[in-house]
Amino acid sequence: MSSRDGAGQDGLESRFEAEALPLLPGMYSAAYRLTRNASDAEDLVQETFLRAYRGFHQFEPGTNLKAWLYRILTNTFINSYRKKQREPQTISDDEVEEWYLYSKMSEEGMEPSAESTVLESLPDEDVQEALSSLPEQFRIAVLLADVEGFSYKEIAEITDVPIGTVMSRLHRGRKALEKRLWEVVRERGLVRD
Amino acid sequence: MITCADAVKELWEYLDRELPENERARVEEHLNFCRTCCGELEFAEELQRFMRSRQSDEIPDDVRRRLEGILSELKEP
Repeated sequence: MSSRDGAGQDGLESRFEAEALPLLPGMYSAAYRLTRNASDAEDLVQETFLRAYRGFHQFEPGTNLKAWLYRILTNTFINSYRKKQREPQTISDDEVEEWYLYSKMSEEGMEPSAESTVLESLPDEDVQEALSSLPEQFRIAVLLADVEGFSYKEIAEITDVPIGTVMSRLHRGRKALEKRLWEVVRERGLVRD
Repeated sequence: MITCADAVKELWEYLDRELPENERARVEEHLNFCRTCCGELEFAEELQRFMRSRQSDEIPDDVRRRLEGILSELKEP
């Protein structure tokens, strides 16, 4: 950061601290969902904040800081952790086509209210596990949309793909997540076999 | 009038509030009378609420202290 002059530098540092630090807890939580363990999550957030701090002069004031930080977070995750983790990178069409958790639960004669009660009874580790079972690009899309509440456009910017790709990843990722949650519900004996 | 298949296909975009106004109206029109799709919608809404409720802003105190410490070190001359 030595290349910048004094007053401007101080201003940037104060702004970074004031605007980015409050987002730290949420980003740690997202990092944990991505990396699946506390130590990697801490490393990932640390790396993200160091990169964000160094590159903060490139951030355009008034634009979406949260989306900008999540872009750095996901890029850092993909570049640093993809090689470390062995996992399927695709979801086969057969696996998710025409697969609806709602239909499965309806077949068991459950009302929507009972279905949500079943879901709510799942411990957080099970939800994390189900999310973790998704291939990386689908996990990122579902995490950004359904957990973090980003719009399709923001997710497209964060992950650097067209909106159509975001929609396709979300569609398939959600289906695969529903399928996995259903398997967990069965394993837990929350519905009859 | 759109079919159930079309409505279900657009359900998540509808829930994500990403549909253009005219398409949103068509899905709503369908949902107004179709009990099958309403069940799907209700469930998808529950699922979305369920996932969002799992969003957590918790960070262990020691992790927060370490990360904030690293950032304040950067500011040292």
